[in-house]
Amino acid sequence: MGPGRSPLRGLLRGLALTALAAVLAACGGNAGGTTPTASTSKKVTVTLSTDLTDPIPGTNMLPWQGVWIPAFEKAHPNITVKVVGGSSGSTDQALYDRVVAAEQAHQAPPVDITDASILPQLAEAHEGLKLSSSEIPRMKEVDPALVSQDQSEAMPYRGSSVVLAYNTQYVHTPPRTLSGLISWIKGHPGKFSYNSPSTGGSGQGFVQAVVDQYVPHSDAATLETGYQPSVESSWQRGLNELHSLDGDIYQNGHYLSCNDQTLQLLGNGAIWMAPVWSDGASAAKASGLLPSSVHFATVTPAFPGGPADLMVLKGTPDRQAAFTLLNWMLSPTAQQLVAKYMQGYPGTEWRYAPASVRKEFKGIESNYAPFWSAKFTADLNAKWQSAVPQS
Amino acid sequence: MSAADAGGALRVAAGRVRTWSGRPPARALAFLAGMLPVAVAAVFVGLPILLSALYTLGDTGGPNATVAEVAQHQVVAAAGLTLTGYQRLFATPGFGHDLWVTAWITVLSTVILLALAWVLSLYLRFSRGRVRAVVSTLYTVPMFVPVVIASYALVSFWETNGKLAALLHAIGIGDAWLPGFTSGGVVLGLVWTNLPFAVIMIGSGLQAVPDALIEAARDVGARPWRVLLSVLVPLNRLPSIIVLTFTATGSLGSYTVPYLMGPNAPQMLGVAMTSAFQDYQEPQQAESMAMLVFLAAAGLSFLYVRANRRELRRMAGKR
Repeated sequence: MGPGRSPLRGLLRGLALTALAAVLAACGGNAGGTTPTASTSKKVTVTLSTDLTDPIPGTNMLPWQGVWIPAFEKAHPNITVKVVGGSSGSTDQALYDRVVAAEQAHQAPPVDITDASILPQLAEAHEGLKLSSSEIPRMKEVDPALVSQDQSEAMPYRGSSVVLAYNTQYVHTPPRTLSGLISWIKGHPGKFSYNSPSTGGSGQGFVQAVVDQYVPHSDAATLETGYQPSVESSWQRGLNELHSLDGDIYQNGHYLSCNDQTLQLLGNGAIWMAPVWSDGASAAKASGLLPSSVHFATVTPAFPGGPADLMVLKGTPDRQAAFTLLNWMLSPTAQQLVAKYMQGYPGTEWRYAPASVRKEFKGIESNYAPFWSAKFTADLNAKWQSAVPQS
Repeated sequence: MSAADAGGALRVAAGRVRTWSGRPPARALAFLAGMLPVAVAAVFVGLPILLSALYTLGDTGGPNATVAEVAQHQVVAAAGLTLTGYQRLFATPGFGHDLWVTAWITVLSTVILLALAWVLSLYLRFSRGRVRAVVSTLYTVPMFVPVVIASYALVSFWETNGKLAALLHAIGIGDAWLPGFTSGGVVLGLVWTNLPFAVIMIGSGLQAVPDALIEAARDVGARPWRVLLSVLVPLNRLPSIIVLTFTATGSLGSYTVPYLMGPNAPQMLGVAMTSAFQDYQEPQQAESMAMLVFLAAAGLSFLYVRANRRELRRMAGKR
């Protein structure tokens, strides 16, 4: 090999030419992209951060990456959805911090769309774009009360509620009222449990329903959308009632540490009755984690339930693409996937939902109370911890 | 070391310093190179601790503004700093129990661990044969099992419907003795997860004690207890203190084991502060608990540094 024909130099030259070509091509692409007609064919990427990081029970698919995004990208080949980061808990707080920091630095948000559980706080800080049916036509079909709950900065795309699961092997007639349930728990020591309210919505729903019994009606609206610590003085009776159940809970007062543990104990027969998420429990039943003898019922006053929301963050570079995804999530195709894989209630009002979906949830649909606002929920978690479990 | 030797060492060291001082740029470079890790530690460790400490004392401005924005029930100092946040934390129902349980679990698990590690290490040092080979492999197993999986496995083993319950029932013992979801279970879990490190530290210290030394002690009539107390323990003070400080610091702030294996209440501080941060939206309370754990750990690390220094001095003396 002669000194003038070093393979390295050839490689470098090749790379330089490729880079130049790429730059030229990119410039050409940009020039075309500025005209409105070409924008439809331009590939855009929207980023999404999600709390749904567990595979759908019985499959190895993640809800976004495995189900919704492939279907969406098939319908909209010019939009790519990229999932970034995400997981609940501490990283939620990190997401919040990054969003606020980006806004203060006048930069684009770290992600375009999120379904994180910190969403209500983000809405409270007005970090989301106002959403309406003028940009997202299918939002007409969504219950306006649900949209206004988060300052119109969030769009419900699926729903679920906390229901009472009971194993018909041991329980033939489930209680129909909350007070009936409480006397059942006292009459069957060790056969009921719920996950501590900070570890999952199903336990939280039960705690909220019990405490809610003694909250004056006039405070109901404040609990749902506002925050005023003085309201909390009426919680004590409910918390005392929960504390009085302590000895009758599974293993003398062992509260489980996530929604899934509740399902496991129901599944292996250790407990006979428990509050569960309608979607998670139905999925567990479909995959065989819960035996077919486990049935679901609702009690009065009902356990809470509510929608899972999507938010488009302020300052998103391509809001049109984000709106397209949100609109698609309410389409019959997407809603059928929600019902099939997540056992979720529709994000739209029931009358707009596909007939197959309406049929599937006949009986338990719409029979739920709303969850409290994020700040009250946080306080309830803290108060439960110091009042209920026996030290 | 004699005084003359020490003087010589000092002169050599001084000579070295003189050569450095002869070339200022090189000295500056060495200084900068030495400062780099210090600067990294100051920026990435020191600064966050300082900010956190200020936040717990009621300073919600500057870089603490974002976290203070979502915080509930936080104390904001009107001017300067205030201890009200800590006062309220101590007045929170249940917090006293949390603090107490953290203290006794840490102490008890460390004591049990040290005792167990010494027994195992002595066994490995002095026994021969096939059982020893099995034990010497077995004790390292917890090191290769991630803590989450180990905790989950232990606690399922201890469940009311679990295998341990079945064994206990077979010999007529009820569920009351099951360690699952109790603070006693947390102690067992912490001992289980820390055992390999402790045995490796103390065991290698014991292996390094020459047979000749032990035989010499025996020759002058020392019984096994005497050999242990006068030869083995003094020679293994440093590894024992390392095990003590490292595991006590780890247990003090542990999260996974008490979260998965402990009771709902009282909670160890690691669990309580995570709940306060994530579930109660009370970052100030969480950071105050973290500061308490930090102070306790700093106390323990003082013990470690002092022991280390003593050991160095002893080694220098031997030379």
